[in-house]
Amino acid sequence: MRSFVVARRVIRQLFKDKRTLALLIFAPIFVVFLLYTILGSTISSPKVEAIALPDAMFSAFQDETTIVAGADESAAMDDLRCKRTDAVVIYSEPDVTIYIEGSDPSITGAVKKAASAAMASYLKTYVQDTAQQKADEQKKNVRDKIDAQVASIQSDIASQIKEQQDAVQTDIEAQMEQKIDDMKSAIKSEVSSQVKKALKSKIKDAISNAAQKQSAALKEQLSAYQAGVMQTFSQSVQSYGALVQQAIQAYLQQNGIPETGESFSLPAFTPPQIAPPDIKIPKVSVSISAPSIDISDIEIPSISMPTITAPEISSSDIEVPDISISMDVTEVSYSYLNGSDDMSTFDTVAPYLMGFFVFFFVFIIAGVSFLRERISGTLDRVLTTPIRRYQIVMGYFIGFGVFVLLQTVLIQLFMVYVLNVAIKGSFMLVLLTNLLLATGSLALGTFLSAFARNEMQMFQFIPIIILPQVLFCGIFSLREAPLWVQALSRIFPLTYGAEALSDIAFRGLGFSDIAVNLSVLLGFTILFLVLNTLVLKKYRRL
Amino acid sequence: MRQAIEVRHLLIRLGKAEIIGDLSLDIPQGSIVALLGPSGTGKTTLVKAVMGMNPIRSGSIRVFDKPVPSFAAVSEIGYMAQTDALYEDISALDNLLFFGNLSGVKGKAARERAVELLDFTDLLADRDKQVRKFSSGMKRRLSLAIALINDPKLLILDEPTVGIDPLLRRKFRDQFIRLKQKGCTIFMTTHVMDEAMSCDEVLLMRAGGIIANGSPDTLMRDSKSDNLEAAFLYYISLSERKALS
Repeated sequence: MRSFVVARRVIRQLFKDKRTLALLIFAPIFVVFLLYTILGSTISSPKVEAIALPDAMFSAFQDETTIVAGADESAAMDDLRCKRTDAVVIYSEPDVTIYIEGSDPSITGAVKKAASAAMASYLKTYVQDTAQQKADEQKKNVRDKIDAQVASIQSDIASQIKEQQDAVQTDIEAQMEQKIDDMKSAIKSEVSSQVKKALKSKIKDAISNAAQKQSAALKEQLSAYQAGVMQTFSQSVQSYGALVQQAIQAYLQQNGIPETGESFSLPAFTPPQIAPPDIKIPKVSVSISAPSIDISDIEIPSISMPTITAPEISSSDIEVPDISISMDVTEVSYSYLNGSDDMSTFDTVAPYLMGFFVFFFVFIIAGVSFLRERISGTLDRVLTTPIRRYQIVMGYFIGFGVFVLLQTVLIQLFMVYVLNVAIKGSFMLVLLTNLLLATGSLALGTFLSAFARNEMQMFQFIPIIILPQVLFCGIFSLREAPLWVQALSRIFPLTYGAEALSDIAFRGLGFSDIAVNLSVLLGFTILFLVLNTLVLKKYRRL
Repeated sequence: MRQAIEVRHLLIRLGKAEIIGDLSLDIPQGSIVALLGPSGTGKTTLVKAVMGMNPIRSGSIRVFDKPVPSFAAVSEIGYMAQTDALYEDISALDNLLFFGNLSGVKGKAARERAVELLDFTDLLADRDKQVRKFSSGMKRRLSLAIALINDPKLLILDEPTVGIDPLLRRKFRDQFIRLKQKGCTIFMTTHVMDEAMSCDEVLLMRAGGIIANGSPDTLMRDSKSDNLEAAFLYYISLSERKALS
């Protein structure tokens, strides 16, 4: 219970000490606010002077910076030296050189950022334009090729068609000729058969006519010839009969009557000389009048010659696909797992600052306050009462704890709701971490005050105890730091607090992820409280 | 007579320096005893040792027969240090109540006791004033009041009248006498001879030891001095002669 007596007194005392109260509660908020105004404002548009920048590049810079065209390089460098401008951009084909004043890292950073953005955008346009140009060229090339191709195809087709047409023509003509020939012969045969028929009967008539006439004539001549021949022959046979009688008389006179088989030779008959008939065939004239043949019914087939027109191949039909340049320039875009691009310097250090200020102010005020108890003799006086040492330590811890809670809540509320520091994780978890950090600092401050004889010596702990913690807590990355630095950072409470805070605020981690850190903080608190109790033995052996 | 404080062969070293060597003394109950001696002789060290706030190398201290250090002994003592040791941001009453509560005086009793003491030290009108606004005399009185809050049987005062005006010193003396009448034992350190004169007994201390003790009259008579300062000087030379021989 004595702890609460001490705690109540500490609280009462602090409430009466307005200045300390203000320092404890409003000073952190004030300092945080100052830092917010300083670090929260980013140099959005650095002042740049351009020398000999091509138009495209200039306008790219115009989007990112406040740029003016300078004429003279040395004048521009003078401006830079006198900080009238933040940077000088000089183009000398093909390179761009950017001169930066360099004494202010935030301006340097802003210039670099702006310049890289400008150059990226310039290069993008440049590449795209070049690509488009190339593409257009290519397109034209293709178009030309297509045109040529089309022209050649067209002439090819035309000539082929012509050939084809010629061939067809020839073919048709040949067929025509054949057909006409056929027709002619058909007509001819048709005509000749009709003619023959007609002629035949006429000829027959004429011939029979003539034949009648000739046969009559011949008959007459032949009958005359026959009568002549007959007369001759009859005279010759009479003469010959008279000779044969003479020959038989002669033979009988001589040989008596002949046995059978005895050869008798008859006298040679000499036939009369008969002249062939001189037959004169009467001339028969046959006059045949040719029949008139009507061939009007013979149709000559009409052959229509197909006209083959060569297809008109216009090269404009062949569309060269528009090579519009989505010739994508690889664009680097940043995407954050945690945090975002528009985080100001303040945002990136806010959780650390929160932890640090909670830690720092509690350390100083609790430390000095406990120190004052030692110096003023009130601690001695308290120790002359039957109070146990741990009760004093706990009383102080509880009493200051109330203010620490108040301070922590206020700082946190201020940062989150007024300065809009984004906390990805749980607000309450941040509060818990801050509280553990603050109690650790409270315990550390009261403990260390035992080793200070006055306020001045208490403040000497700042560079020894506080600053290394700030440097090592994670505000600056220790990843590449030597191992001993990393090891050293592990003995500081603030490291664990800051780590937990950034884990919650940036990465949104939960209780289980930072439980180790919180345990360490709690451990530190308990350790310092125990140590403080032990150190109080210096004041009373009880 | 029962002894309020009994110190036997006390040896105290702070660091390497021996502050008190083989010191023995008795403070009888109900008396006002002054520990007189120049600065740096170990008066405060002795007083703090009685409070249990200094390590005892050897020897023993008993307060009302209770060993020191112990909470039992501490509970019997009211202590007023050289410095006022007050919480300046809170009121006189709050200071009193705080130490009262720590000493185990609680609630209504504590308040009554506090008001009584404020009245006793003439601070009742300023009880709710922040101590910061007090004059040094008022602070001294409040400091005395706090030392008395647990109604101690033994009041230990380390230089109670340093830097206060004669009027207040007179007032303090009166109060001590009133306390003594109530049965309180008062053990105070001082280097003011005048103050020691009004005590029942004076312990002359030098270089960590008691060189003489007795009532002021006895000390003056034995040293054939007409004032305590002369007596003190006499005993100093006596002790130096003793040391030489």
